[in-house]
Amino acid sequence: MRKESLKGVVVLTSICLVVALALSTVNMITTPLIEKADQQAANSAYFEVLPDATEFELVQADELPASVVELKKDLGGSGYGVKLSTTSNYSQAPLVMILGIDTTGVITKLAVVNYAETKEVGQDFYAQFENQDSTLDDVDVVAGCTFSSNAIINAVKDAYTAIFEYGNLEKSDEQKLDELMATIMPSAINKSGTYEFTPVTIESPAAGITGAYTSENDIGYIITAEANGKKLAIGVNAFGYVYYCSDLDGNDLLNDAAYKDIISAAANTFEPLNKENDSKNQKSIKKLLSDSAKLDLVDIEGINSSVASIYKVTDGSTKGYAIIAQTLGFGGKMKLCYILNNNGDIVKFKALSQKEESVEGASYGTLITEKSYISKIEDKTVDTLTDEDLLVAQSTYTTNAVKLAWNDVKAAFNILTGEGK
Amino acid sequence: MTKFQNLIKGIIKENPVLVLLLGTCPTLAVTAYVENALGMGIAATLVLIGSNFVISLLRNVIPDKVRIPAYIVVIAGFVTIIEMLMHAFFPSIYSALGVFLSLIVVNCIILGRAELYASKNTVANSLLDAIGMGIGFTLALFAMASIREIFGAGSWFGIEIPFLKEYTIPILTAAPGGFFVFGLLIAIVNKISNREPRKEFGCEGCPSAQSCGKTNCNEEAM
Repeated sequence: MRKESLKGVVVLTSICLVVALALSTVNMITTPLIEKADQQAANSAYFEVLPDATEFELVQADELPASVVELKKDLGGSGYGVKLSTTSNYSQAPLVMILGIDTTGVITKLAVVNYAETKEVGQDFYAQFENQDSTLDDVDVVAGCTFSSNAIINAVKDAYTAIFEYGNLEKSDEQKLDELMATIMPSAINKSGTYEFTPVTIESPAAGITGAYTSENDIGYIITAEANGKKLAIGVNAFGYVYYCSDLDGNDLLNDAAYKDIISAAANTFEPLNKENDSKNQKSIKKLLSDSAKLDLVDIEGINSSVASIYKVTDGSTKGYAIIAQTLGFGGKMKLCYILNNNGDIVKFKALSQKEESVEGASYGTLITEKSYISKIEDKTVDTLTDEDLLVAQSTYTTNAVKLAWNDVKAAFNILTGEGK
Repeated sequence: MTKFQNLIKGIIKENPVLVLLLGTCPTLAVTAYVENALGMGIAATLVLIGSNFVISLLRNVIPDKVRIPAYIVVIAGFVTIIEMLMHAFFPSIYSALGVFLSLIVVNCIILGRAELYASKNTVANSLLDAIGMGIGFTLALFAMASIREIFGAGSWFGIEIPFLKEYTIPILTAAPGGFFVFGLLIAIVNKISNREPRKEFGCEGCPSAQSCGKTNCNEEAM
């Protein structure tokens, strides 16, 4: 019995040892092949976005932006693949995407890798990214999915940040300028979280002035110029004053004496917007006041906000300011007028113009023209008007635009009453 | 039984899937598409050949008391080797088969043939038995997958069939459809082989009677 048991143990142990030896031999042979196959599988999504790529190599990075999981470079030189992870509004698991960017900084493709169908924003949204550069000018959010759309847009922007920092990609002058525009005119932000500036023709540009752009909400100009061997971006507010000047890398040159002449030239490139729109604005404001009201155009130097026009108001015993702010709601440009007396009471509020946009039968933002909304605002002062008062129901972007306008109006009012201008 | 009969018995008369009703789990799981079914069939055949060969070689060495663990170790070893080779050289099929590749270890066909045949017969006969059973298993999977993929997905081997693509029966690629096709094939094989219905659960009605060696099911294996 004991002999039989011993034989059993010996035989079983021997079989196990032989099998283990065979397995370790096969493992030794197949491990490099399996690693290569696994790597190919992991990279298959990268090949989808960069079809001309040959082999991908991970780019070492100390600290990647939040949405960037990894950055890979094609050793064949066709570009970069970036793995992005961002939260989706309708899914508990993060949305994982692979972004392909070629050597000129243009997006080849954005592919979603962790589920076959994009349940919310749709394939058309992802297709928008193709052939875009870091400015993402032609990418628009999907109505009803703005949270997810913006999360994806921001993830793509993070990808560019990572590539510019850790890759060999250089930003073009256009890309640098486009990125600076957000800094120069932050009040020009639209519902997509992006900035749209339109080139403007200069009839007789001064020496060194190379171009000009205006924002969608007409609150000033961005003038491009060349001086002392540098390309410059200059911000001019609606009152005709220069408040920003830097090179394309963002180095501040506003107070640099060497650029005084070009700054002066930029300021004089166009007639100030507040003067250009003076008669139209006066006509609109006088409708809110009595026939005998007097309006005097006021300038403010150095501000950079959505405030586009200011008038000193004298209407009988009421003395104060009419301040017009121009922001961007869901439908586009909104022109809001606040008339405040010198004590800071909001005497009148009116949306002088706004574009309503219908989405699936609903109109966004028209609430700000209704009496109930207006009376809520006219009942308040500069110190007591709150965000809750400004809330426009079911209109996130209009509400944000109204809040931005009010904050800028309040700041301008404080400057006016503080400096006594 | 001649060597030729030994080889071909696994194809129809003693088909492991459709007659012996062994290996039903992987049969239903991987036969939604022909490519996967063939991959499974070939993998299982290679394991069957290897395990039958080794077990037959060691049949007089392995004591009775440790035969099952010994068989399992050998079978698991071969399955793992096949898995590694598939992962290295056929990664797409490896991914498609997934966990069912590892589950070949507990596939009744492998252990069943080891216990019923390889442990009692010569190496040559065991090899022929393994090849025959492997071919039978693969053919059964192939037939089942062809029916399910053609009528369930409108394609064959991944190639779309123009007319059928518009008129698929999707349930055939799901579990209920799998059972239906399985039953259908069993009925067809029964008809072809003219098998008489079993009147009793005794050795007379058992398809493995010839190779089993027992005179009744309760008897200890010889």
